[in-house]
This record gives sequence, C-alpha cells and structure tokens, in this order.
Amino acid sequence: MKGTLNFFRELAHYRSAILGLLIIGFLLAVAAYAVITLPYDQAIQLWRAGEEVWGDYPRNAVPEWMNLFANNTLAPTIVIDSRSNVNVKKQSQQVSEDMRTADLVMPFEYTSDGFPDEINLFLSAKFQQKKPQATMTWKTPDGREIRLGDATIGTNERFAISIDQRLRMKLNDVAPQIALLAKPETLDKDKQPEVLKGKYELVVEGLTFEKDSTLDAKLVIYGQAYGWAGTDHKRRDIMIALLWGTPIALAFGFLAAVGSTLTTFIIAAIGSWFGGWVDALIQRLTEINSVLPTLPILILVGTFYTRNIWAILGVVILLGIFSLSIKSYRSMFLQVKEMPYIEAAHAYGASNLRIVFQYMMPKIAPVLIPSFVTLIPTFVFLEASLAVLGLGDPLLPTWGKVLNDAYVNGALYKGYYYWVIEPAVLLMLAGLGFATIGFALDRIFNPRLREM
Amino acid sequence: MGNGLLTVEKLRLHFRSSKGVVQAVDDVSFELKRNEAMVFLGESGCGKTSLAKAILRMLPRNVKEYSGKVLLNGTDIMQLDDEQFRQQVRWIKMSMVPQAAMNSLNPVIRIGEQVAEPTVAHFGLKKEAWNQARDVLQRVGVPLDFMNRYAFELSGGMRQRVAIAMALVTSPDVVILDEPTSALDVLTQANIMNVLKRIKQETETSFILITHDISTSSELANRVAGMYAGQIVELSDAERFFSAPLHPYSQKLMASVPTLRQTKKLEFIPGQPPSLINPPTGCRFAPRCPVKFEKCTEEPPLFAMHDGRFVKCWLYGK
Amino acid sequence: MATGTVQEVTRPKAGIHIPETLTRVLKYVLFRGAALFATVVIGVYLTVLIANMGGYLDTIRLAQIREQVGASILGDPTLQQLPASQLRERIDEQVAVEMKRLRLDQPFFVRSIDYLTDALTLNLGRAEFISSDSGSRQVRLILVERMPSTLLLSATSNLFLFFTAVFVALFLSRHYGSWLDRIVIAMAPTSAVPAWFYGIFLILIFASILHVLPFGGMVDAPVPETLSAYVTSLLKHMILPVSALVLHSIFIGIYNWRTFFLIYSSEDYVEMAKAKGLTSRTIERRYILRPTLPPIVTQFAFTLIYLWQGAIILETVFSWPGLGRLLYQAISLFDVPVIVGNVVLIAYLLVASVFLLDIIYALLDPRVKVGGGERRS
Repeated sequence: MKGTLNFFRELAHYRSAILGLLIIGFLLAVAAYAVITLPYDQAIQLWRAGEEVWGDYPRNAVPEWMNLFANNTLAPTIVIDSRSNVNVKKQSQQVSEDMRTADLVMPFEYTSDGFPDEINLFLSAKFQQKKPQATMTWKTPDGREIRLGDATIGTNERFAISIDQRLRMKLNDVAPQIALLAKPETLDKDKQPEVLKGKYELVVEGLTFEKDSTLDAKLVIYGQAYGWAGTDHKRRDIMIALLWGTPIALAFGFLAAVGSTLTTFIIAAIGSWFGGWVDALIQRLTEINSVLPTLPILILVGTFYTRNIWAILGVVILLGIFSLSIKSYRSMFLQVKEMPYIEAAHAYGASNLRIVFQYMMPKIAPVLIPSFVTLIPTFVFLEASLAVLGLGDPLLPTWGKVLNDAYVNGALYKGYYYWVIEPAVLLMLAGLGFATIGFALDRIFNPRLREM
Repeated sequence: MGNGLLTVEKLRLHFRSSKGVVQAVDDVSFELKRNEAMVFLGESGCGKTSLAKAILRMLPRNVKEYSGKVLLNGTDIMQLDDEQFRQQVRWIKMSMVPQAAMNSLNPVIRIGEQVAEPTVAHFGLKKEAWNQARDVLQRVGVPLDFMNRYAFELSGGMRQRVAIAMALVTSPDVVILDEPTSALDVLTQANIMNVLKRIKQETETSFILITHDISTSSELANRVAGMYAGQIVELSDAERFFSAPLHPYSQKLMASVPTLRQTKKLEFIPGQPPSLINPPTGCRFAPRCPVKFEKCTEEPPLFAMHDGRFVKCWLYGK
Repeated sequence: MATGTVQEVTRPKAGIHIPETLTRVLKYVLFRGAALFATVVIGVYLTVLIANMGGYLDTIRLAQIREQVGASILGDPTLQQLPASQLRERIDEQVAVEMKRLRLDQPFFVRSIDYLTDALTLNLGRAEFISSDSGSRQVRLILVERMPSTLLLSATSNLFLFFTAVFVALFLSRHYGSWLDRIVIAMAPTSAVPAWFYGIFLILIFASILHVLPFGGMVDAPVPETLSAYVTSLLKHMILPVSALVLHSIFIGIYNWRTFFLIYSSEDYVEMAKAKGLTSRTIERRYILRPTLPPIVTQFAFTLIYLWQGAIILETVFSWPGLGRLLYQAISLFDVPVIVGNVVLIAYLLVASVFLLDIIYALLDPRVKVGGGERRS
C-alpha cells in the first residue's frame, strides 16, 4: 500500500505522466460509462441495424458542437409523427358508407439558418384490401401552398421529398429541400438561397376506403447536425462506436500487451535458467519469428480466416511470444542467474520452477512494467490499422472501423472531417496517454535513465 | 600558507540531488609542497573523491556551489575559463588516476596510443609522444608488446599500471590518485605501491593520494589529512598521524587498523557516517564522538597546534 | 549467438595461428550461415502454409476454376445444342486439364514443398490476378516494378531520419537539459502514433482543407511529359507521405540516440578523456562515436533492410504504388505467389544483413572476435 503510494508520488514528478494518467483516467471513465449504459449486445445490435432503427437520423450530420464554429446555426433534425405528436391536427369526415376523409395537419417551426440535407415523409396506413390515398401539400409561413404530390398508401410508404424528380421539376429544378424552405425571392440563379423562418405546415389530405382504415404520417426533416458525434453514411450515431470503441481498444491493447510481454518474459526466464538445448531452441524460434512479417500475417489471417477481434488478439499474442525482446530479457536473466542468492537457493534444494518463478522473475519484473505500458498503444493502433485496411471485427463498433468507414466513403474528399477527426483524436489520446506514462515509468524503473 | 606548489583555500563543492543539497566538499584548505605525497584518509562517502574532482574541475551536471581558491604555482586556476583550464591545467600541471582505473581505458583504442594521447593532444608531437609513452610504460612495468593491445586483453593490475603511466606521461606537477589500489589483490597492491614509491623518488612529482586504506597509504605518505563529512578534521605529518593522532576520529580510525602478531582488540566507530545532505550542526563528528562535551554543539575551527599540526576539535581549543 | 571457441584473452601474434584461425573462421561462417538459412527456410515455409490457408485455399481455387470453365462453356453458342450430360462432361474435362496445369491434383503437402523450393530459389512464378504495368504476370517483374517507388519513399525518409536523429542526438547529449532537449523528451511519446495516422491528418490539413498538396498517388494523373515537370509532380506527391514517416519517428529516434549517447558519455573512459584535457571534438570522435560505432552501424544496417519493406498502411492511405500496397492488394485478391514472393524477398534481405552484420561487428569492435562466443553488450 505504502509502496503504491510512493510509486504514484514518484510518478507525479513527471508532469507528462500526470497528463497521461488524466487521459487514461478519462478513457477508463468513458469505457465504464459505455459498458454500463449500453450493454454489449445492444450496442452490437444498434450498430448493425439499418433504416428501421436509424431512419429518422440524418445522414452524415456533423456533431452539434460544430455550431460553435459555423456562422449560421446548423439545422437540427425535426420529426413530426402523427401518432405521437399532439400538435398534429387530425380531422376525419364521413363521405360515404365506407369512405372517409383523413386529414393530417402537421405544423412545425423552422428557425435554422441552414437548409436540411434531406426531407422524408413516411406514410403508413391500416387497411384490409383497399389502400388509402393521400395528397400532400406544403404550406409556407408566407401563405404559399405547394402541392407535393399524391400517393396510394400501403402499410409502409416512404415519400422521399428531397429526391422526388417530379417535385423538383415543378420547383424549377431546385432541390426540394431548399425550394420548400427558402425565401422565394432568393431562389434566383445568381443568389444564395436564404431560409424563410417561421411556421410551416404539411397537410396530408387522405381518403380511406374501408371502415377501420386509418392513415398516419411522419415527417422527418433531416438536420445538418446531430448529437455529440454526428452520424455516418448509414445514419448511425457515431457516438455509439466512439463510446464502445473505448473499452474494446483498451481491452485489446491491454490484453495483447499483457499476453505478449508475460509469455516472452517467462520463456526468456526458462531458457536462461535451463540453458542448453532449451535455450538454443528458444533462440532459434526467436530468429525465425523475426523473419516472419507480423502485419502481413495478420492481414492474411484477417482476409483468409477470421476477422473476429479476439481471434486476432490471439494471433497477435502468438506472434509476440518469441519477439526480439527475449534477447534483452535473456541477457538480464543470465546476470541474475549468476547472483549468489540464486546459487544459495539452488544449493538448499529449491526446485527449478521455484527458482525461475519465485527468485529470478521477480528480480527483473520491474523492467517489464514500462515496456508493457509502452506496448499498449502499439496494439491499440494495430487494431485500428487492421480496421483501416477493412479487416476490422465484423460485429463490433470500433474506432478503427469508424475511421475505415470514413475513409472508404471519401470523408476527406467530401469534407466530413468530424468523421475522421473524432476516432482519430480518441486513438491519439489513448496512444499518447499510455506512451507518456510508459516513458515516465521507464525513467523510474531504469536507474540509468533516471538522471537523463 | 601560500608558498607551496598547490594551495587550496576554502574549496567548496555542493550539488543538488533529489533529496537535497549534498555538501560533498565543504571549506577544505590545505597546501601541497613539491615532491610531497599527501594522503587524504576517510571512510567511504566522506567526500574524498569529490575533492579530487573539485581540484581538477571534473564536475557533475548538478553543481549547486563551486567556490574557493586553488592556487597552482601562485596562479588561481579557479579563475581560468573552461578552455584555458583544459589547455593549461589538465594533464599539463595536474593529472589523475581515477577510481576504478580499470574502466577508464577506452575499449577500442590501443594502449600505446591511449598513453601517448595526452602528449599528442597538448604538444602535437606524434613520434615523441609514442617514445615517451613507451618509456613511461616501461617505468611502471608494462611489457612493451602490450602497447598494441586493447584494454580488455589486460589484467586488472596491468590496466592500473597503464592508468598510472597515462597520468605520468606528461610529467605533471601534481598527480591525484583516487583509490589506486582498492580493486586489486594484496600482491598487486604492493606492486603498484612500489611503482609509485619509485616514481616519487625518481621525479619531482607531488602526489595527492585519496584512500580509505591506511596500511597501503602509509607507504607513500609524507603528510596526512583526515577527512570527515566533507571537511578536513586533522592535518599532520604522516609519522605523527599514524603513531599519535590528535582528533578523536583519527584516533578511532587508527585503532581500527589490524596489526599482525599483536593481540589488540580491533575498534570500530559506532553509528553511521553522517549524511552529506544534512550534516549535524556544530562538530560533525560529535554524534559518534566518545569524548564529546557541551562545546561540541558549536563548529570548531581548524586549530593550529604549536608543533605544526592542525586539528578541528574543541579538545585542543584554547 | 552461435557456439564457438572460448574468447581468447590475448591476441594471437600475426603469422603464427593463421591456419587455425582460418579454419575457425570458416567453421563459424558455415555454421552461422547454415543456421540462418534454416531460419529462412522455416520462416518461408510458414508463410507458404499461412498464405495457402494450409491448403484450404485450393478448395476456393477449385471452385473458381469450375465456375470460370462452366461459364465459358455454357456461354459458348456453338455448344448450346449439346445435351446437359455432355456439357457436364465437357466441363469436368476442362477442369481436370486446368487442375493438372496448376498441379492442383497433387496433395497439398507435395505442392507446399514445391512452393517452398520455388520461393527459396527465387523462382517466384506467375501471379494469379495481379499484373505489372507492362502487363506481365511474372511475380519477379511485378516486384521489381514496385520496388523503386517503395525505395524512393522509404529511403528518402529513413536516411533523413537516421542521420538527423544521430546528429541531433549527439548535439543534445552535449547540451543536456537545454530547452531543445526538453522539447525532444516531451515529444518522444508522440511516436506511439503510427505514420499512416499522421498521414491521415496531413491529408486532412494539406489536401482537404488547404488544397495545396495532392491526396495521394505518385505523380499527377496525366503523367507529365517533361522531366522537370515529372520530378516536380513526384516531389509534390512525396511531401506528405515522407512528412508522415518523419513525424512518426523523428522524436523517438532523437530521444533514443540521445539516451544512448548520454549513457556512453558517462562511461569512465570518457570522463578520463575529459580530465586528460582532450578537446570536446576529440572526445566526441574517439571516445563516444568510435566505441559506439558497432551499434550505430547495426542500426543503420537495419534501417537499410527495412527500406525494402514497404509501409503497408501508409502506402495504402496515400495510394502509393509500392511493395507495401502491392502486398495488401495481393492479400485481398488471394494472390498467393505475390504474397509469398514479397515475404521471401524481405526474409532473404533480413537474414543476409544479419549475417553481414556479424562480420562487420567483428571488424569494428575488437572486443568481438570472429569465432568468439558471446557478444559483449
């Protein structure tokens, strides 16, 4: 206890290490938050879900904090659902025995400076045989009425207003999501369209042909900004991947580092204690391992066998066992082996295993700690590297996969910088956090470096 | 003071460490005459090696205070800048055989070249330097064919001789020997001491010998300085220091030397040598002194005795 | 290292022990060479096994052949009238011929040994999908074609890095504790971030936002006709990937060398050299650089070896047409000959350099004798 306290006191001498500890603390907190608030299965399900879950989310929306840098307020997403929104006025009148009108008046207030990227109207109807029909009209604050179109409505119908060609032609070939929300006088070719702020209404005039037939509508005006992290090309909230990427990255880095350092360490100890053919074999295996290219093999494994992150973890550890650090551990162990207390232990009949595990390894163990900590970011980035090559885990949301999605979808060309920057910053934080602590530890545990 | 070859006045070397300021050398003054050998005696960690480094300005990186006067033939070498010091003092006037001389040889330069190097560096005479190196190596008893060897091919005793040869090659006025024999076996020790004695007889060179080994140092010493906690506590001619020391510390030190064929109880000094970081106030030896009294809470000056000896102890104060 | 005679304490006088020394040297070289060659053999065989998925890839290949043959026969209008059974026979026949040609009728073990001997004799064979720009399927040609791009990129950055790092570190070890030194220490952990990662940031800043440098590739799309225009375009494309590589390792490089020099300059013999009154230039040259030359040369040699190993992800991120990207392409296309060829090339270079290094080491460091046992660390 006292030892740990002293250790942290010593670590606190290094300002960079304090920064590192803060960063790692932050990441651990994020990881804990992710695991507690969003269970593993749920996170995977959400991340793999399609339009049925993410339909109401904007595509490639920037994070809301981008408002801080934008001159205009970025449009948030507006969803008006006739099933849940109390402002929607429903009117129904009997026309004939089976025929009824079903009108929905959906008001909303548009106050942003920016135009939305997309507007969708989801219509759903209940019926037995005869599908209801509807006519959609857009009412602007200045009293204009624009007929959007008519439709026969099935159980689930999507009217993609923003990409409707007929509507676009009617609007003088201006994208509907702009034309419908702009001040009409700014729609000239040489002018920058401006938003007409105010109360809008979408009126759905429906006609049902059966007794219990009903009609419902949901208008989604997709904003330009969403949440803390924005959304990706599949409308998914990137936050999920950022949150869940944290525990995965930390666990992967930590386990890979523990696995490879510990095994390497034990093997080096055994080799140098027993010497002879055991040692020779270990040395040869190390040399063979040094010829094998790690990353290509991982790529091979990812392409040919499995992309499961835990399987990859196993291969990483396997390739790390006979790493070149065996040689440096070995030379340290060879020195320890000659020390009198080992000789004494041998003399009074301690077993080989006891000497290796209880006498030799603890002596050098401190040297392990810094190299172990500095290894963690290497593996965190290794996972990201594989993901960037498209070999990320098929199920899990990870930072690397977000980066890969962004890269594959040309985020850098199209200007979706947040998509790249967010996972990149997290990766960078993890890398720098562990690296700074590792460097400080190296100075603490390596007396030769202490004064340097 | 002031008419010897080397006069050191109030030399002080303090350095910073993570635990505080180390007062390695604190107000040390002494005088060394030509062809004289002065021995600095003291326990490990009393600042002897730091004293050697302070005289030759071989300072560590974390120096806090470095002050005092070091007069060599009347000029204060403390006033020289680093480049002047390098050109005028190092190995021209003063050389040293460092502690662990075995590791102080360059592993990849041949012995002969290394011994000749100071002459080449300071005088630029290649051929002459080589001849001088050969002579001096011969004088300290290194076989000539060793000149083409590398340090790792030599035994410890041979390396020590090479280090001594290297210190003598430019015939400096003062040679500082820092524990020149501590890592060697008894026979080799005797051998080396004989070499040094012979050199002292043959040349005009003065020696400063730093050691904790009383018996070997007695061979060479003309005068002895007892050092305790970074300070000189007794300064005396060798004969009287070894036979009848004045300071309680020196007395204890002498009593701890084993002698053959004499049944005498070996003494030791209770307690630990004081830390140089927070030395005791007053007399620094007081906490371990068997004869301390009230006065000892004040720091004693270095009293000059009528017989020419100096002692830093209230017992001898007027 | 390899076994050998016990290190001799005294240097044998010239002319006396020559025959003995010579045989010892020869024995050592042979033994070491054999051991290293065995290393290559096993390493390459493992690669062959992994790259063929232990033979499983053949099943995939077989299915592909069947599909191709089937498509070509069924799509042939002259054969349409034939009854189905005959068509199937036709297909089977064709598949068998194809299998024979590719030696797929042999058991995998036999073929894996074939692959191994071919690889070791640098008979790298034909690629299955990838072809060189000149249209050749020869793996050797493909590799040779990609080599210059990789070499250009990695040699520029690594040679720059190596020499800058060593010289700056030497300077810093003299100016220990200066502000520049502190900056380097503080920046050293940034090397935990891989080069391709800096690449993405650089692309973001200089290509996406500022539009001053290209996103990737090696030269502009219509290849410039004049030499000067070509070189300018090439240089422009090199700036970002080279900067990414440099950013990634410059600080850790300087930091490591600096620590290395500091450790060596606190050796007793350096202290002694200072006491001897040697100039700091002499001390640096004879007492710091000279004894540390063997590790510096080793490091340099390894720098040279890894020049050949293209940076896979960096080249992919920058669409740089080098060996690294080739390897990635080969893997995604299951083009085993190209994969194995790439790995064999690097294994050979690596092992050959290790072998050479052993000899260089012995020449540079008198403490290490050829035929002597352990290297002193």
